[in-house]
Amino acid sequence: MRLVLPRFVAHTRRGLPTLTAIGSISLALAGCGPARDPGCLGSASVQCVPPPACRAVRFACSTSGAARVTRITTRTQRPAGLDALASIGDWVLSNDNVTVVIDDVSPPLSPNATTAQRVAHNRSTHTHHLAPSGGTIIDISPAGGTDHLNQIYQITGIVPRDALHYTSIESRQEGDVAVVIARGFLDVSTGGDGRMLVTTRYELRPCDPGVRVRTEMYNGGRVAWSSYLSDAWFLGDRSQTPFVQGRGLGFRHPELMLTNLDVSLVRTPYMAASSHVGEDTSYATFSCTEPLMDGVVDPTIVAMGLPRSYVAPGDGLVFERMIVASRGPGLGALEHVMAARRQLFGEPIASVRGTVELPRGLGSERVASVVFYEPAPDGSDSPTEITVWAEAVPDATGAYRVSLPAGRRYRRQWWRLGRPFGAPETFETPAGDGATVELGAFRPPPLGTIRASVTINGEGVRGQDAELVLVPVDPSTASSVRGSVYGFFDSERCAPYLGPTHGGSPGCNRVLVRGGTTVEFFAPNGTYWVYAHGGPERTIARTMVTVTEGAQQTVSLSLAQLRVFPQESMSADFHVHSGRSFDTSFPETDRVLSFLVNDINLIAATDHDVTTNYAAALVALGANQRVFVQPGVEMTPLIPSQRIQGASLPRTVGHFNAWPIPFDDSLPRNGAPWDELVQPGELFDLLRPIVDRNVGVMRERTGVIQLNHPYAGSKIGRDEGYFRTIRWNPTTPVPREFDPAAPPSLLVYRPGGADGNRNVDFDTIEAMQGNELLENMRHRQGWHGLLNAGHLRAGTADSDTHSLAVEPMGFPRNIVIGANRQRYNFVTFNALVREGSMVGTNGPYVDAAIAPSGSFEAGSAGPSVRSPIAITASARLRIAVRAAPWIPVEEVRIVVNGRIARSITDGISRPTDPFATVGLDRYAGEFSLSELGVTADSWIIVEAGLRLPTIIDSDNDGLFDRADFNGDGVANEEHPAAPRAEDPRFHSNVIVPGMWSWGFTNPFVVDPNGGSWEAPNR
Amino acid sequence: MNRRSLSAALLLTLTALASQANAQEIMLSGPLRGGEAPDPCVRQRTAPRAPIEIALGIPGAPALGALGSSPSACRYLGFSVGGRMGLLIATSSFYGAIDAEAHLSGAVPIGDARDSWIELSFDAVRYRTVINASVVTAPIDMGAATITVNHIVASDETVSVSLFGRVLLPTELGLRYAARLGAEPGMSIVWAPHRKVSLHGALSLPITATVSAANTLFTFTPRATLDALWHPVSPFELGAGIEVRGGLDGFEYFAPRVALRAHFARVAFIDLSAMAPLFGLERQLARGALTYGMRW
Repeated sequence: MRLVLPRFVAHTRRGLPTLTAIGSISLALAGCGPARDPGCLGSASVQCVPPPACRAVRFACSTSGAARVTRITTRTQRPAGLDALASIGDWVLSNDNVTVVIDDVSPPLSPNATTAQRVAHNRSTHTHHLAPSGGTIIDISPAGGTDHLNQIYQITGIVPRDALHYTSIESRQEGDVAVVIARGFLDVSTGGDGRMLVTTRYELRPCDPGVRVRTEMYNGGRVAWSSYLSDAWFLGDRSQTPFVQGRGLGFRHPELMLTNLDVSLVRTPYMAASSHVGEDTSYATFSCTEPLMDGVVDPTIVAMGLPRSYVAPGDGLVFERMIVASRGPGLGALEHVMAARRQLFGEPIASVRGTVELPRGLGSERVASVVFYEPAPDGSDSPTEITVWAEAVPDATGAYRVSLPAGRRYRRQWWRLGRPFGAPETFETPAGDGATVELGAFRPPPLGTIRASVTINGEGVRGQDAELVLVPVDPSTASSVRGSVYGFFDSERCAPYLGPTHGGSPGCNRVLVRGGTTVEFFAPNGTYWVYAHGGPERTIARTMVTVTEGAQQTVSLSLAQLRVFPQESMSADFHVHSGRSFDTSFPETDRVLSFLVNDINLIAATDHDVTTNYAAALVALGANQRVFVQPGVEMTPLIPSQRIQGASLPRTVGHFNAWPIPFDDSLPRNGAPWDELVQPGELFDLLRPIVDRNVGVMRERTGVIQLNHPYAGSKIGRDEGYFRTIRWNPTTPVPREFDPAAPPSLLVYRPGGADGNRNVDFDTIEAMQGNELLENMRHRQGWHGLLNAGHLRAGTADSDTHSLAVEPMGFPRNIVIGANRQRYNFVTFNALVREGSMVGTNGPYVDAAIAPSGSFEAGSAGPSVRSPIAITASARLRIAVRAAPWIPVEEVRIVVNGRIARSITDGISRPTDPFATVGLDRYAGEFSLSELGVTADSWIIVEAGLRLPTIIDSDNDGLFDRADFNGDGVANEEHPAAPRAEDPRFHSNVIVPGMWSWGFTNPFVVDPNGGSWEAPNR
Repeated sequence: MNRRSLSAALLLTLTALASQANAQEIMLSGPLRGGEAPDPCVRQRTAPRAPIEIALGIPGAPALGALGSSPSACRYLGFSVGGRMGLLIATSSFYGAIDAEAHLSGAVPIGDARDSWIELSFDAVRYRTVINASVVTAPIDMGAATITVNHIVASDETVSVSLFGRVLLPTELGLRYAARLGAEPGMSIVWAPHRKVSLHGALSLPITATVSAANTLFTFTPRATLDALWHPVSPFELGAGIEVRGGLDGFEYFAPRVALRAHFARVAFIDLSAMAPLFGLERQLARGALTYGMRW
């Protein structure tokens, strides 16, 4: 407890020096006195300035400019790079080597704030990602380089309340040293103890290659604390490759298990991370407090800090470290670490140099790299026993240099195209500090290359951009050409490996081809099918090539434009990510090129927690007239805060897209609101005033809010699908009123108060996301359950693409019926989306209409959730299905109230040549609604595609979880096996791995009886 | 002085205390055992009367020597060794804590008037574990020590009243940037209306200061205890009581406490006691102690 007894205070203040002296003497006598300066430990006073961090470390440089501390005043001061988050008001430490941005600490929101105030606050607050407040590192950019950092914030444990929550921030210029100090306590908003005082000093000196950080944590609370005081690096997954030095470590690490930290912890002298796209940057950190740090490592999040410590009330911890950055590919930042540790711990260092003869041009810096390690004690190269020390990527001249501890025996292993290359070579560093080891030149045999071009012909062709997909002709050779980033981001799809899976083109086994150009790229030796495609409204083509060392193969492929979708429609993908998202590094230019390749007309730019507009890339590619972009955001709550009945841990509420959101890069998150600690209804309260516009004098609903992947699972304890968060069994009805004891009724709860939105008040639901059939069947169940409960929402189909290969762009997509590219208007377009004037598809187009009177000449209606269609007993449903010849269609399904009322497999044409331009019309038929059993208020959806396998709910939670993909009569698989060449899925599976062709209409809501429409399961 | 030498010094102190106790025993055994006059502290064939001795230190530091315990109002010569343990489980907060201490204490009368005595209490080995979600720490180190000086201010045939002053010594090794000091003035009373029954009360004012460079964390937790001990049949003695405690943060707890004591060999005893804080700010679920000792 803090001092609150006034008389006692007065007394003890007088006696405080005595007490302090007694305490100090006692500690000294006990031999356990603090070895380091306690600084301001326990002081909340801004008068107390924490001492400098890492005082024993000095970096030399040729420049003499002072380090400076400034605040961002214009949007142009944001560092370069898609991950840069700096906005006006943030704090900048910079010298001639590096720029470090610390987000500002925003004032708290008043509990009595109005909705308008809440919206303004959440748009302006400088809080990012996992941190509960500003005062964290959001950007580090080496001089002339780009920022690849999502965020580094401080924690004392693994649950949200253990995060450091800063409430004030100030700067100091101490001569030529720039300082920012953030002060606060543990995050009270998630249950943290506000008496746990924390202070972090960020400091930059003139020659430093990174920021010095000192964090003091003082336990002023009532209970002893188990603290893991550390920096949490939010790498985000698929964005950077983490590295930890240590035996059996390097680019390997124990699995991160938040519920059992013991099995995840590593002890390491340093950690590093490197990007793998564009202007690369590497980062590294080391402790100045301890020779080793305790850490947990995962591509999504890394924590590095002090050993776990018992902290009694009145005691505290001090953690000093540096976070350094280096421009260029590989782990160049480790050079700074080795230099600093030599000063801190007296570790003698040798400099190791060499060269490699690089292949000409072609982004050679990503083609070759070298890893240095000590062999296992038994001399073997067992990955679990070797000690990896460093990695280097040769520069453009082929030269490389690393620092390694002196007096040790090492091996170097070359890597090429994501695989080890050649045999490791052994060398030694001499004892004593400062020696140089010349490893000489390495002359690997040259790689083979492919030069490729693609043309697209036919009526109405809208572009010449295409994508190449390479697969081994003999699938059994795939393992010999599969690659990864030292084992990270490994995917069986990446065979042959052409580049980092989540980087730009070439990436994984794919290459983008700009129209009218020829692309040239390296490929490992092998014989491959080279496919070309341009989306579901074009043919596909392929040719076989054999790549050999040093030889160049030329590929020229031709595609044809098809007419699958209606003239009066637009192809749209409402869930698209680029490198601005924390979980991918996919470049914006390649992303826009992927829109063009797949002939997407409109995208909602929905990066995680940041708004994007692709403006520069659209201009660079001249694509402004071909692709419309509605800037938006994928609201991605990351701080578990919601206590859901029956759940033992707090949850996040899943992901929601919203568009359009005005792009404003002077604001935090480019204008997207902060989305933590709220339920969906409160999120909608925040989003509606932003996405909706004034039309005339009225504020009308002009934007779209979408529930994404409703039954997606969780990742590192963060729920991604709201229906799974609340454990809604979609076969159960939704109560009309909120009942705290019934989780499904959370859907109708208004968390923001009586005037606020309900948690179910989104406009659309993602009924199909990506290409996992079972996952999509669950999303479909959620949508159908919602319709059955009377909450009529349009269903969408989105790719949720993060990269070239893992979730291909535009598969699936939405065909927005009635939208027109020439007369595009976002208000009209979004109205069609909300209404459900859409077909969702990854290939087949389902053209369906209902004639209420039975006569299509007398009038017909398309799908819509806006208002029920009054039908007579003679009402008829007309269906036509079209698809490109390479898209398999085997079944047409008519779904009434969530049940398949009719499965049609006869009369469906199947093109014999998947590469042909004919055979698009697959099915046409007409049905009486009464013969489909539609005699009461109902909703009808028509689907077409591959025949559904037998699918079951094995655990009775209302959700499908197993299927009989292999046709053995037992539904026990989660994924279909890769199809063989004779399988109708073969070609589509090359273009879109895992694809189960499927198109669906939005609901026809029919009312045969007049009166108000009654939901089937209300 | 390092930890090892400090431990050696403390061990020497204990040894010296024990030696002193032996000497005192020789001097005191006659008058205290004689039983010529009724004495609220003396009961035939057992050690001197004493209240329930379970203690809860302060919030966040449940074991601090004898701090937070109610001393006997009866002077005595003796020593004890034992183990103490506390448990805190707060599932909804993903928090748990266990502490266990190997505890030593010794008391020796001082002065010629034989109405004062001094008691040293020491958590020689301390194990603590805190579970903060999956972040678990479990240090083993040396704990706190207290010195208590007691003085009988009033006594008759059935009642003895003593004042005491206790000092918490900064011997804890688990603090990195701080040292903890403390004091606890108080008063104890024993009333023995019947040879098989005694009532023990105590009031005390524990105060601690955990001193670090830029802050001092104070606790002040006034407490009162009332215990009834009943000696139904030899060698057993049963005790039940309550403790009420407040503090700067508010009401700390109301804690029922119980003890089962077995006396043997006239001066030896084994004591099993427990308490369970209820109703207040204190989050400890329960504390227990098992003590073996000898008192004259």
